[in-house]
Amino acid sequence: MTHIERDGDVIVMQLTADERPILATFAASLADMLEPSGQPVDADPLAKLVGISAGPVDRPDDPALRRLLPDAYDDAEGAAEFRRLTDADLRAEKAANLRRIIDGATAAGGVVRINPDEVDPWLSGINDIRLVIGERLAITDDGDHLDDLDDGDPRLPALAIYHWLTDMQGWILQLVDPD
Amino acid sequence: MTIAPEHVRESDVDEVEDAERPWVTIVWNDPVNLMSYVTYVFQKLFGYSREKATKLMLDVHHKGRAAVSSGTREQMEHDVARLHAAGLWATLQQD
Repeated sequence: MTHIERDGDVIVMQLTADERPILATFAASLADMLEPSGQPVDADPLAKLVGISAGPVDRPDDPALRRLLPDAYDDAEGAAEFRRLTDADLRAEKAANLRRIIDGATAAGGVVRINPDEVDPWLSGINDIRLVIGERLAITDDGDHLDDLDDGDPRLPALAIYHWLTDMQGWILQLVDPD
Repeated sequence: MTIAPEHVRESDVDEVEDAERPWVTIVWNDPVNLMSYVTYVFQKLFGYSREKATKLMLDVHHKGRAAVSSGTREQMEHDVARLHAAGLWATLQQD
């Protein structure tokens, strides 16, 4: 079980030996989805500089990616233009958050130290992983249909990870923004 | 020296009024985001008090959506981009 506490203004999280590779793998998979081959999506150097894509950027086909990179406007034209202006930077920011999580997950002894300026990247990164799992498992507000899965159900491992990351996010929030 | 027009065309007035209508940022409910996280994001991004952030979060949760900020189109595009970065589902529209 993950142990989380404060050490001054640093959040310290102790990940178990089982938890570390799971967190690292999920974060790495999502980072690759966002920025395939680790490069910013647009190869145009000027686009890289200003974060704006030269040509149109399509809405992702993958519904999980679409949830992370949603349409900003109801109309397709407005949404496409907004996407063209923001897609590269948004993917880069989310991928950077996830790579920070990978670094933390692979830290010596599983001891993750999250400084105040790293809290939001961690929270966002964990949230993005949860969003992807939620999309894949079709998690809805009345998620009762997922409470009674049979032992051999292939969704169980991902659901367990979803619950674990939900708890992790909740505990971090409780430490940084207590009720 | 210019002569003032005798009258202003109706459509000119409509265009000006349309351009001056404020834009709003809408946050949409989704089943994954924690209520505590949404409240935290509203405080962090907009500087809202805990009370206001909680109220907006509950509006999103119970009504399915809530307008969380308003202003110029550019300002709302910025807000939407920040909300997307935080993993919330947001859109902008004219009020």
